[in-house]
Amino acid sequence: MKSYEQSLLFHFKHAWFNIKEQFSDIPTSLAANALVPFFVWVLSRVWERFNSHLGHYQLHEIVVYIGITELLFMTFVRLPSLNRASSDFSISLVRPRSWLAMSFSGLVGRSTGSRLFMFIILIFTLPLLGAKPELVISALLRLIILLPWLGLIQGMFSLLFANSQVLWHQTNYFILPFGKIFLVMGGVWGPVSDFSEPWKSIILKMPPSDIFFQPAYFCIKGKFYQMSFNEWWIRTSILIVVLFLINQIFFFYAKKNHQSFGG
Amino acid sequence: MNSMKLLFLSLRYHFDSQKSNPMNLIAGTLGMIINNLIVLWGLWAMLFNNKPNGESLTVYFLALNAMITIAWGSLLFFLGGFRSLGEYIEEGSLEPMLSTPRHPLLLVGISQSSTPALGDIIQGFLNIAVLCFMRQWEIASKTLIFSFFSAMGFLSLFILAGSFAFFLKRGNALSQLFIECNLSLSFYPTGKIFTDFGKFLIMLTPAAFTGLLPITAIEYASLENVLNASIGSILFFSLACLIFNLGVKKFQSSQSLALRN
Repeated sequence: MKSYEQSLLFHFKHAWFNIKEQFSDIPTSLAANALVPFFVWVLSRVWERFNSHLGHYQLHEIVVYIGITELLFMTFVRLPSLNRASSDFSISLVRPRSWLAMSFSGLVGRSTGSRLFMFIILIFTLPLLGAKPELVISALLRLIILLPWLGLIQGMFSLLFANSQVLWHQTNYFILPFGKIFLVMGGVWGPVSDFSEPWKSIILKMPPSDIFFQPAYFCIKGKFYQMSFNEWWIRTSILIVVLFLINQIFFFYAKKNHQSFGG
Repeated sequence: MNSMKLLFLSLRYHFDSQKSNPMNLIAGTLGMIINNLIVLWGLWAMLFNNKPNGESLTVYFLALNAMITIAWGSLLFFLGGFRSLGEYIEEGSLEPMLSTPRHPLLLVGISQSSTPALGDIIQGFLNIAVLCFMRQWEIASKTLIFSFFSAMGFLSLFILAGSFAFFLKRGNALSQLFIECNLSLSFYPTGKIFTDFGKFLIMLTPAAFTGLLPITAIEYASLENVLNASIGSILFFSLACLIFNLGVKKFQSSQSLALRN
Protein backbone atom coordinates (compact mmCIF):
# COMPACT_ATOMS: atom_id res chain seq x y z
CA MET A 1 0.00 0.00 0.00
CA LYS A 2 2.84 2.30 0.93
CA SER A 3 4.61 1.69 -2.38
CA TYR A 4 1.34 2.44 -4.23
CA GLU A 5 1.11 5.80 -2.45
CA GLN A 6 4.74 6.52 -3.15
CA SER A 7 4.23 5.70 -6.80
CA LEU A 8 1.21 8.01 -6.97
CA LEU A 9 3.19 10.80 -5.33
CA PHE A 10 6.03 10.25 -7.80
CA HIS A 11 3.70 10.59 -10.80
CA PHE A 12 2.10 13.74 -9.36
CA LYS A 13 5.57 15.22 -8.95
CA HIS A 14 6.46 14.17 -12.48
CA ALA A 15 3.31 15.86 -13.83
CA TRP A 16 4.04 18.97 -11.73
CA PHE A 17 7.58 19.15 -13.12
CA ASN A 18 6.17 18.99 -16.66
CA ILE A 19 3.65 21.74 -15.85
CA LYS A 20 6.41 24.00 -14.52
CA GLU A 21 8.61 23.23 -17.53
CA GLN A 22 6.14 25.04 -19.80
CA PHE A 23 6.85 28.26 -17.86
CA SER A 24 10.65 27.88 -17.83
CA ASP A 25 11.24 29.72 -21.14
CA ILE A 26 8.56 32.41 -21.36
CA PRO A 27 9.72 34.02 -24.67
CA THR A 28 9.66 30.65 -26.48
CA SER A 29 6.26 29.74 -25.01
CA LEU A 30 4.96 33.18 -26.01
CA ALA A 31 6.26 32.72 -29.56
CA ALA A 32 4.69 29.25 -29.74
CA ASN A 33 1.29 30.62 -28.69
CA ALA A 34 1.41 33.94 -30.50
CA LEU A 35 -0.84 32.65 -33.26
CA VAL A 36 -3.75 31.76 -30.97
CA PRO A 37 -5.22 35.31 -30.74
CA PHE A 38 -4.71 35.66 -34.50
CA PHE A 39 -6.69 32.47 -35.19
CA VAL A 40 -9.42 33.59 -32.77
CA TRP A 41 -9.71 36.84 -34.70
CA VAL A 42 -9.77 35.24 -38.17
CA LEU A 43 -12.17 32.41 -37.24
CA SER A 44 -14.58 34.70 -35.39
CA ARG A 45 -14.73 36.87 -38.54
CA VAL A 46 -15.33 33.78 -40.70
CA TRP A 47 -18.21 32.84 -38.38
CA GLU A 48 -19.59 36.39 -38.46
CA ARG A 49 -19.61 36.40 -42.27
CA PHE A 50 -21.16 32.96 -42.81
CA ASN A 51 -23.06 31.86 -39.70
CA SER A 52 -24.05 34.89 -37.62
CA HIS A 53 -27.45 35.04 -39.36
CA LEU A 54 -28.39 31.73 -37.68
CA GLY A 55 -28.74 33.70 -34.43
CA HIS A 56 -27.50 30.96 -32.07
CA TYR A 57 -24.67 33.08 -30.72
CA GLN A 58 -23.37 36.62 -30.69
CA LEU A 59 -19.92 37.64 -31.92
CA HIS A 60 -18.56 38.32 -28.43
CA GLU A 61 -19.59 34.78 -27.38
CA ILE A 62 -17.94 33.26 -30.45
CA VAL A 63 -14.67 35.03 -29.67
CA VAL A 64 -14.62 33.30 -26.25
CA TYR A 65 -15.83 29.99 -27.75
CA ILE A 66 -13.04 29.90 -30.35
CA GLY A 67 -10.47 30.98 -27.75
CA ILE A 68 -11.43 27.98 -25.59
CA THR A 69 -11.57 25.44 -28.44
CA GLU A 70 -8.18 26.69 -29.70
CA LEU A 71 -6.76 26.31 -26.19
CA LEU A 72 -8.01 22.73 -25.99
CA PHE A 73 -7.01 21.80 -29.54
CA MET A 74 -3.54 23.37 -29.71
CA THR A 75 -2.55 21.35 -26.62
CA PHE A 76 -4.26 18.09 -27.62
CA VAL A 77 -2.01 15.57 -29.44
CA ARG A 78 1.39 17.21 -30.04
CA LEU A 79 4.21 15.45 -31.88
CA PRO A 80 7.10 16.70 -29.66
CA SER A 81 5.30 15.39 -26.56
CA LEU A 82 4.67 12.03 -28.24
CA ASN A 83 8.28 11.71 -29.36
CA ARG A 84 9.44 12.45 -25.85
CA ALA A 85 7.04 9.91 -24.35
CA SER A 86 8.04 7.11 -26.74
CA SER A 87 11.78 7.86 -26.82
CA ASP A 88 12.71 6.11 -23.57
CA PHE A 89 10.62 2.98 -24.13
CA SER A 90 13.56 0.53 -24.29
CA ILE A 91 15.17 1.67 -21.06
CA SER A 92 11.81 1.86 -19.30
CA LEU A 93 11.33 -1.90 -19.78
CA VAL A 94 14.03 -2.54 -17.19
CA ARG A 95 12.93 0.22 -14.82
CA PRO A 96 10.73 -0.52 -11.79
CA ARG A 97 8.15 2.13 -12.76
CA SER A 98 5.44 1.59 -15.37
CA TRP A 99 6.18 3.22 -18.74
CA LEU A 100 2.45 3.75 -19.28
CA ALA A 101 1.99 5.62 -16.01
CA MET A 102 5.21 7.60 -16.45
CA SER A 103 4.31 8.67 -20.00
CA PHE A 104 0.74 9.45 -19.00
CA SER A 105 1.74 11.72 -16.12
CA GLY A 106 4.30 13.46 -18.35
CA LEU A 107 1.81 13.97 -21.20
CA VAL A 108 -0.92 15.28 -18.88
CA GLY A 109 1.57 17.59 -17.15
CA ARG A 110 2.91 19.07 -20.39
CA SER A 111 -0.55 19.58 -21.80
CA THR A 112 -1.88 21.13 -18.57
CA GLY A 113 1.13 23.46 -18.39
CA SER A 114 0.55 24.61 -21.98
CA ARG A 115 -3.15 25.05 -21.30
CA LEU A 116 -2.47 27.20 -18.25
CA PHE A 117 0.00 29.31 -20.24
CA MET A 118 -2.52 29.81 -23.03
CA PHE A 119 -5.22 30.47 -20.43
CA ILE A 120 -3.22 33.47 -19.16
CA ILE A 121 -2.73 34.75 -22.73
CA LEU A 122 -6.48 34.49 -23.39
CA ILE A 123 -7.44 36.40 -20.22
CA PHE A 124 -5.65 39.43 -21.66
CA THR A 125 -6.30 39.02 -25.38
CA LEU A 126 -9.98 37.95 -25.58
CA PRO A 127 -11.33 41.34 -24.36
CA LEU A 128 -9.11 43.04 -26.96
CA LEU A 129 -10.69 40.86 -29.66
CA GLY A 130 -14.22 41.95 -28.74
CA ALA A 131 -15.27 39.60 -25.90
CA LYS A 132 -17.07 41.05 -22.89
CA PRO A 133 -14.72 40.89 -19.85
CA GLU A 134 -17.47 39.45 -17.58
CA LEU A 135 -18.07 36.60 -20.07
CA VAL A 136 -14.33 35.97 -20.37
CA ILE A 137 -14.01 35.63 -16.58
CA SER A 138 -17.08 33.41 -16.11
CA ALA A 139 -16.21 31.20 -19.11
CA LEU A 140 -12.59 30.72 -18.08
CA LEU A 141 -13.65 29.92 -14.49
CA ARG A 142 -15.95 27.21 -15.86
CA LEU A 143 -13.07 25.96 -17.98
CA ILE A 144 -10.91 25.62 -14.86
CA ILE A 145 -13.53 23.20 -13.45
CA LEU A 146 -13.41 21.02 -16.58
CA LEU A 147 -9.64 21.15 -17.24
CA PRO A 148 -8.53 18.26 -14.96
CA TRP A 149 -11.11 15.88 -16.50
CA LEU A 150 -10.32 17.03 -20.03
CA GLY A 151 -6.62 16.57 -19.20
CA LEU A 152 -7.25 12.89 -18.47
CA ILE A 153 -8.95 12.39 -21.85
CA GLN A 154 -6.19 14.27 -23.65
CA GLY A 155 -3.57 12.20 -21.80
CA MET A 156 -5.26 8.94 -22.85
CA PHE A 157 -5.37 9.97 -26.52
CA SER A 158 -1.73 11.10 -26.49
CA LEU A 159 -0.70 7.89 -24.77
CA LEU A 160 -2.48 5.94 -27.50
CA PHE A 161 -0.34 7.68 -30.13
CA ALA A 162 2.84 7.24 -28.10
CA ASN A 163 2.01 3.53 -27.81
CA SER A 164 1.28 3.32 -31.55
CA GLN A 165 4.60 4.97 -32.33
CA VAL A 166 6.44 2.27 -30.38
CA LEU A 167 4.33 -0.47 -31.92
CA TRP A 168 4.46 0.60 -35.59
CA HIS A 169 7.36 3.12 -35.67
CA GLN A 170 6.09 5.26 -38.58
CA THR A 171 2.86 6.92 -37.38
CA ASN A 172 3.86 10.60 -37.60
CA TYR A 173 2.09 11.16 -40.91
CA PHE A 174 -1.24 10.08 -39.41
CA ILE A 175 -1.16 12.52 -36.52
CA LEU A 176 -1.99 15.41 -38.87
CA PRO A 177 -5.22 13.89 -40.29
CA PHE A 178 -6.16 12.56 -36.86
CA GLY A 179 -5.82 16.10 -35.49
CA LYS A 180 -7.89 17.43 -38.38
CA ILE A 181 -10.73 14.98 -37.61
CA PHE A 182 -10.86 16.42 -34.10
CA LEU A 183 -10.48 19.97 -35.43
CA VAL A 184 -13.48 19.62 -37.74
CA MET A 185 -15.73 17.30 -35.73
CA GLY A 186 -14.86 19.01 -32.47
CA GLY A 187 -16.16 22.33 -33.73
CA VAL A 188 -12.84 24.10 -33.20
CA TRP A 189 -13.47 26.45 -36.16
CA GLY A 190 -17.01 27.20 -35.07
CA PRO A 191 -19.81 25.66 -33.01
CA VAL A 192 -21.10 22.26 -34.19
CA SER A 193 -24.64 23.54 -33.51
CA ASP A 194 -24.19 25.86 -36.53
CA PHE A 195 -23.39 22.96 -38.90
CA SER A 196 -26.05 22.02 -41.42
CA GLU A 197 -28.04 18.77 -41.12
CA PRO A 198 -27.45 15.83 -41.32
CA TRP A 199 -23.84 16.56 -40.29
CA LYS A 200 -24.80 18.34 -37.09
CA SER A 201 -26.69 15.33 -35.65
CA ILE A 202 -23.94 12.91 -36.71
CA ILE A 203 -21.07 15.00 -35.36
CA LEU A 204 -22.82 15.61 -32.03
CA LYS A 205 -22.76 11.84 -31.40
CA MET A 206 -18.99 11.60 -31.91
CA PRO A 207 -16.27 11.82 -29.22
CA PRO A 208 -14.57 14.95 -30.70
CA SER A 209 -17.73 16.92 -30.04
CA ASP A 210 -17.71 15.75 -26.39
CA ILE A 211 -14.16 16.91 -25.78
CA PHE A 212 -14.08 20.22 -27.67
CA PHE A 213 -17.52 21.55 -28.61
CA GLN A 214 -19.47 20.55 -25.48
CA PRO A 215 -16.91 21.91 -22.97
CA ALA A 216 -16.60 25.21 -24.90
CA TYR A 217 -20.40 25.48 -25.14
CA PHE A 218 -20.62 24.82 -21.38
CA CYS A 219 -18.10 27.58 -20.73
CA ILE A 220 -20.03 30.25 -22.60
CA LYS A 221 -23.63 29.12 -21.89
CA GLY A 222 -23.31 27.41 -18.49
CA LYS A 223 -24.87 24.15 -19.77
CA PHE A 224 -24.11 21.44 -22.32
CA TYR A 225 -25.74 21.45 -25.76
CA GLN A 226 -28.76 19.12 -25.84
CA MET A 227 -27.43 16.97 -22.98
CA SER A 228 -27.18 17.07 -19.18
CA PHE A 229 -23.95 17.26 -17.22
CA ASN A 230 -24.41 13.63 -16.11
CA GLU A 231 -24.86 12.44 -19.68
CA TRP A 232 -21.68 14.25 -20.78
CA TRP A 233 -19.79 12.85 -17.79
CA ILE A 234 -20.92 9.26 -18.52
CA ARG A 235 -20.02 9.59 -22.24
CA THR A 236 -16.55 10.91 -21.50
CA SER A 237 -16.03 8.30 -18.71
CA ILE A 238 -16.81 5.52 -21.19
CA LEU A 239 -14.34 7.12 -23.63
CA ILE A 240 -11.62 7.12 -20.95
CA VAL A 241 -12.28 3.44 -20.11
CA VAL A 242 -12.17 2.43 -23.80
CA LEU A 243 -8.93 4.36 -24.36
CA PHE A 244 -7.45 2.83 -21.22
CA LEU A 245 -8.19 -0.68 -22.48
CA ILE A 246 -6.82 0.02 -25.97
CA ASN A 247 -3.68 1.47 -24.39
CA GLN A 248 -3.19 -1.69 -22.34
CA ILE A 249 -3.56 -3.89 -25.43
CA PHE A 250 -1.18 -1.71 -27.52
CA PHE A 251 1.34 -1.63 -24.69
CA PHE A 252 1.21 -5.42 -24.36
CA TYR A 253 2.03 -5.91 -28.06
CA ALA A 254 4.55 -3.05 -28.12
CA LYS A 255 6.44 -4.72 -25.26
CA LYS A 256 6.17 -8.16 -26.83
CA ASN A 257 7.38 -7.13 -30.31
CA HIS A 258 9.76 -4.35 -29.34
CA GLN A 259 13.23 -4.30 -30.85
CA SER A 260 15.64 -1.63 -29.76
CA PHE A 261 18.03 -0.12 -32.31
CA GLY A 262 20.42 -2.82 -33.39
CA GLY A 263 17.92 -5.52 -32.42
CA MET B 1 21.81 26.20 -68.29
CA ASN B 2 24.04 24.59 -65.64
CA SER B 3 21.62 25.75 -62.97
CA MET B 4 18.74 24.06 -64.78
CA LYS B 5 20.80 20.87 -64.98
CA LEU B 6 21.48 21.08 -61.26
CA LEU B 7 17.77 21.63 -60.58
CA PHE B 8 16.80 18.53 -62.57
CA LEU B 9 19.56 16.50 -60.91
CA SER B 10 18.35 17.49 -57.47
CA LEU B 11 14.75 16.66 -58.39
CA ARG B 12 15.85 13.25 -59.61
CA TYR B 13 17.88 12.69 -56.48
CA HIS B 14 14.97 13.64 -54.19
CA PHE B 15 12.54 11.52 -56.17
CA ASP B 16 14.90 8.51 -56.06
CA SER B 17 15.32 8.87 -52.32
CA GLN B 18 11.53 9.06 -51.84
CA LYS B 19 11.02 6.09 -54.16
CA SER B 20 13.48 4.02 -52.14
CA ASN B 21 11.06 4.08 -49.19
CA PRO B 22 7.68 3.54 -50.86
CA MET B 23 5.79 2.98 -47.60
CA ASN B 24 6.99 6.35 -46.34
CA LEU B 25 5.99 8.03 -49.62
CA ILE B 26 2.54 6.40 -49.62
CA ALA B 27 1.92 7.11 -45.92
CA GLY B 28 3.00 10.74 -46.24
CA THR B 29 1.01 11.38 -49.41
CA LEU B 30 -2.12 9.56 -48.25
CA GLY B 31 -1.95 11.22 -44.83
CA MET B 32 -1.85 14.65 -46.45
CA ILE B 33 -4.68 13.88 -48.90
CA ILE B 34 -6.90 12.61 -46.04
CA ASN B 35 -5.94 15.66 -43.99
CA ASN B 36 -6.88 18.05 -46.80
CA LEU B 37 -10.12 16.24 -47.60
CA ILE B 38 -11.23 16.43 -43.96
CA VAL B 39 -10.48 20.16 -43.90
CA LEU B 40 -12.35 20.73 -47.14
CA TRP B 41 -15.36 18.71 -45.99
CA GLY B 42 -15.38 20.44 -42.58
CA LEU B 43 -15.37 23.93 -44.06
CA TRP B 44 -18.01 22.95 -46.61
CA ALA B 45 -20.32 21.49 -43.92
CA MET B 46 -19.79 24.46 -41.63
CA LEU B 47 -19.90 27.35 -44.07
CA PHE B 48 -21.43 26.39 -47.40
CA ASN B 49 -23.76 23.38 -47.27
CA ASN B 50 -27.42 24.57 -47.02
CA LYS B 51 -26.23 28.03 -45.97
CA PRO B 52 -27.84 30.91 -47.92
CA ASN B 53 -24.78 33.14 -47.26
CA GLY B 54 -22.28 30.57 -48.45
CA GLU B 55 -23.77 28.13 -50.95
CA SER B 56 -23.02 30.37 -53.94
CA LEU B 57 -19.36 30.48 -52.89
CA THR B 58 -18.70 26.73 -53.21
CA VAL B 59 -17.00 27.12 -56.62
CA TYR B 60 -14.98 30.10 -55.36
CA PHE B 61 -13.81 28.12 -52.34
CA LEU B 62 -12.96 25.01 -54.39
CA ALA B 63 -10.87 27.15 -56.75
CA LEU B 64 -9.14 28.93 -53.85
CA ASN B 65 -8.37 25.63 -52.14
CA ALA B 66 -7.05 24.12 -55.39
CA MET B 67 -4.85 27.13 -56.08
CA ILE B 68 -3.35 27.21 -52.57
CA THR B 69 -2.74 23.45 -52.34
CA ILE B 70 -1.13 23.23 -55.80
CA ALA B 71 1.05 26.31 -55.17
CA TRP B 72 2.08 25.36 -51.63
CA GLY B 73 2.53 21.65 -52.47
CA SER B 74 4.56 22.23 -55.64
CA LEU B 75 6.91 24.62 -53.90
CA LEU B 76 7.49 22.28 -50.95
CA PHE B 77 7.84 19.19 -53.13
CA PHE B 78 10.18 20.62 -55.79
CA LEU B 79 11.96 23.41 -53.88
CA GLY B 80 11.20 22.52 -50.26
CA GLY B 81 14.42 23.99 -48.85
CA PHE B 82 13.03 27.55 -49.02
CA ARG B 83 10.74 26.76 -46.08
CA SER B 84 13.87 26.12 -43.95
CA LEU B 85 15.81 29.25 -44.97
CA GLY B 86 15.54 30.77 -41.47
CA GLU B 87 16.77 27.53 -39.91
CA TYR B 88 19.73 27.40 -42.34
CA ILE B 89 20.72 30.95 -41.43
CA GLU B 90 20.47 30.34 -37.68
CA GLU B 91 22.25 26.99 -37.71
CA GLY B 92 24.98 28.04 -40.14
CA SER B 93 23.98 25.70 -42.99
CA LEU B 94 23.80 28.71 -45.31
CA GLU B 95 27.55 29.36 -45.03
CA PRO B 96 28.74 26.67 -47.46
CA MET B 97 26.00 27.70 -49.90
CA LEU B 98 27.32 31.28 -49.92
CA SER B 99 30.81 30.15 -50.86
CA THR B 100 29.90 28.40 -54.14
CA PRO B 101 29.66 30.08 -57.57
CA ARG B 102 25.93 29.28 -57.76
CA HIS B 103 23.22 31.53 -56.36
CA PRO B 104 22.65 30.60 -52.70
CA LEU B 105 18.86 30.78 -53.06
CA LEU B 106 18.95 28.08 -55.74
CA LEU B 107 21.00 25.85 -53.43
CA VAL B 108 18.64 26.57 -50.53
CA GLY B 109 15.63 25.66 -52.64
CA ILE B 110 16.93 22.35 -53.97
CA SER B 111 18.30 21.20 -50.61
CA GLN B 112 15.03 19.57 -49.46
CA SER B 113 11.86 17.97 -50.75
CA SER B 114 8.81 17.38 -48.57
CA THR B 115 7.14 14.00 -49.13
CA PRO B 116 3.64 14.91 -47.81
CA ALA B 117 3.55 17.90 -50.20
CA LEU B 118 2.81 15.43 -53.01
CA GLY B 119 -0.53 14.89 -51.24
CA ASP B 120 -1.21 18.64 -51.44
CA ILE B 121 -0.57 18.64 -55.21
CA ILE B 122 -2.86 15.62 -55.76
CA GLN B 123 -5.54 17.24 -53.59
CA GLY B 124 -5.34 20.43 -55.67
CA PHE B 125 -5.79 18.47 -58.91
CA LEU B 126 -8.72 16.58 -57.37
CA ASN B 127 -10.37 19.96 -56.74
CA ILE B 128 -9.70 20.91 -60.37
CA ALA B 129 -11.34 17.62 -61.44
CA VAL B 130 -14.40 18.45 -59.29
CA LEU B 131 -14.59 21.92 -60.87
CA CYS B 132 -14.49 20.29 -64.32
CA PHE B 133 -17.21 17.84 -63.22
CA MET B 134 -19.30 20.88 -62.22
CA ARG B 135 -18.71 22.23 -65.75
CA GLN B 136 -16.68 25.16 -64.43
CA TRP B 137 -14.10 24.76 -67.23
CA GLU B 138 -13.07 28.40 -67.29
CA ILE B 139 -12.54 28.62 -63.53
CA ALA B 140 -10.62 25.31 -63.57
CA SER B 141 -8.21 26.44 -66.29
CA LYS B 142 -7.72 29.87 -64.71
CA THR B 143 -7.02 28.18 -61.35
CA LEU B 144 -4.21 26.17 -62.94
CA ILE B 145 -2.67 29.32 -64.45
CA PHE B 146 -2.94 31.46 -61.33
CA SER B 147 -1.54 28.69 -59.11
CA PHE B 148 1.79 29.73 -60.61
CA PHE B 149 1.32 33.32 -59.36
CA SER B 150 0.32 32.02 -55.94
CA ALA B 151 3.44 29.79 -55.90
CA MET B 152 5.56 32.87 -56.74
CA GLY B 153 3.89 34.58 -53.77
CA PHE B 154 4.72 31.69 -51.43
CA LEU B 155 8.30 31.55 -52.74
CA SER B 156 8.71 35.27 -52.00
CA LEU B 157 7.07 34.79 -48.59
CA PHE B 158 9.53 32.01 -47.68
CA ILE B 159 12.53 34.14 -48.76
CA LEU B 160 11.26 37.25 -46.97
CA ALA B 161 10.28 35.43 -43.77
CA GLY B 162 13.45 33.29 -43.75
CA SER B 163 15.56 36.45 -44.07
CA PHE B 164 14.23 37.63 -40.69
CA ALA B 165 16.89 35.34 -39.19
CA PHE B 166 19.61 37.64 -40.60
CA PHE B 167 18.33 40.57 -38.59
CA LEU B 168 16.53 39.21 -35.50
CA LYS B 169 17.14 36.91 -32.58
CA ARG B 170 14.74 33.94 -32.75
CA GLY B 171 14.22 35.06 -36.35
CA ASN B 172 13.46 31.51 -37.50
CA ALA B 173 10.62 31.05 -34.97
CA LEU B 174 9.23 34.42 -36.04
CA SER B 175 9.51 33.49 -39.71
CA GLN B 176 7.53 30.26 -39.17
CA LEU B 177 4.81 32.25 -37.36
CA PHE B 178 4.75 34.77 -40.18
CA ILE B 179 4.41 32.00 -42.78
CA GLU B 180 1.62 30.26 -40.82
CA CYS B 181 -0.29 33.55 -40.41
CA ASN B 182 -0.11 34.26 -44.12
CA LEU B 183 -1.02 30.69 -45.05
CA SER B 184 -4.19 30.98 -42.93
CA LEU B 185 -5.06 34.35 -44.43
CA SER B 186 -4.60 32.87 -47.90
CA PHE B 187 -6.47 29.64 -47.16
CA TYR B 188 -9.65 31.16 -45.69
CA PRO B 189 -11.86 33.01 -48.18
CA THR B 190 -10.75 36.41 -46.86
CA GLY B 191 -11.88 38.10 -50.07
CA LYS B 192 -15.45 37.17 -49.15
CA ILE B 193 -15.13 37.68 -45.39
CA PHE B 194 -13.76 41.19 -45.19
CA THR B 195 -15.20 44.34 -46.68
CA ASP B 196 -13.35 47.43 -47.92
CA PHE B 197 -11.12 48.29 -44.93
CA GLY B 198 -10.50 44.63 -44.04
CA LYS B 199 -9.51 43.92 -47.64
CA PHE B 200 -7.20 46.93 -47.60
CA LEU B 201 -5.47 45.47 -44.51
CA ILE B 202 -5.08 42.08 -46.23
CA MET B 203 -3.52 43.87 -49.19
CA LEU B 204 -0.76 45.07 -46.86
CA THR B 205 0.23 41.46 -46.04
CA PRO B 206 1.92 38.81 -48.23
CA ALA B 207 -1.45 36.99 -48.27
CA ALA B 208 -2.44 39.50 -50.96
CA PHE B 209 0.11 37.91 -53.34
CA THR B 210 -0.38 34.31 -52.25
CA GLY B 211 -4.18 34.33 -52.12
CA LEU B 212 -6.29 37.42 -52.58
CA LEU B 213 -4.93 38.88 -55.84
CA PRO B 214 -4.68 35.55 -57.74
CA ILE B 215 -8.16 34.38 -56.63
CA THR B 216 -9.64 37.77 -57.60
CA ALA B 217 -8.03 37.35 -61.02
CA ILE B 218 -9.55 33.84 -61.27
CA GLU B 219 -12.98 35.15 -60.28
CA TYR B 220 -13.19 38.23 -62.53
CA ALA B 221 -10.36 37.76 -65.07
CA SER B 222 -10.36 41.40 -66.10
CA LEU B 223 -7.11 42.82 -67.49
CA GLU B 224 -6.76 44.99 -64.38
CA ASN B 225 -6.99 42.00 -62.03
CA VAL B 226 -4.53 39.92 -64.08
CA LEU B 227 -2.06 42.83 -64.13
CA ASN B 228 -2.48 43.32 -60.37
CA ALA B 229 -1.69 39.66 -59.70
CA SER B 230 1.29 39.49 -62.07
CA ILE B 231 2.91 42.85 -61.26
CA GLY B 232 2.22 42.26 -57.56
CA SER B 233 4.00 38.90 -57.57
CA ILE B 234 7.02 40.34 -59.45
CA LEU B 235 7.31 43.29 -57.05
CA PHE B 236 6.94 41.05 -53.99
CA PHE B 237 9.59 38.64 -55.31
CA SER B 238 11.97 41.57 -55.96
CA LEU B 239 11.39 42.91 -52.44
CA ALA B 240 12.05 39.47 -50.89
CA CYS B 241 15.31 39.07 -52.89
CA LEU B 242 16.38 42.60 -51.92
CA ILE B 243 15.88 41.85 -48.23
CA PHE B 244 17.74 38.53 -48.63
CA ASN B 245 20.69 40.28 -50.33
CA LEU B 246 20.80 42.93 -47.61
CA GLY B 247 20.83 40.12 -45.06
CA VAL B 248 23.65 38.30 -46.84
CA LYS B 249 25.78 41.49 -46.71
CA LYS B 250 25.12 41.70 -42.96
CA PHE B 251 25.61 37.95 -42.40
CA GLN B 252 28.48 36.83 -40.20
CA SER B 253 29.60 33.24 -40.20
CA SER B 254 28.93 31.30 -37.02
CA GLN B 255 32.68 30.60 -36.73
CA SER B 256 33.59 34.28 -36.57
CA LEU B 257 30.81 34.83 -34.03
CA ALA B 258 32.19 31.97 -31.94
CA LEU B 259 35.69 33.50 -32.12
CA ARG B 260 34.34 36.85 -30.99
CA ASN B 261 32.54 35.22 -28.04
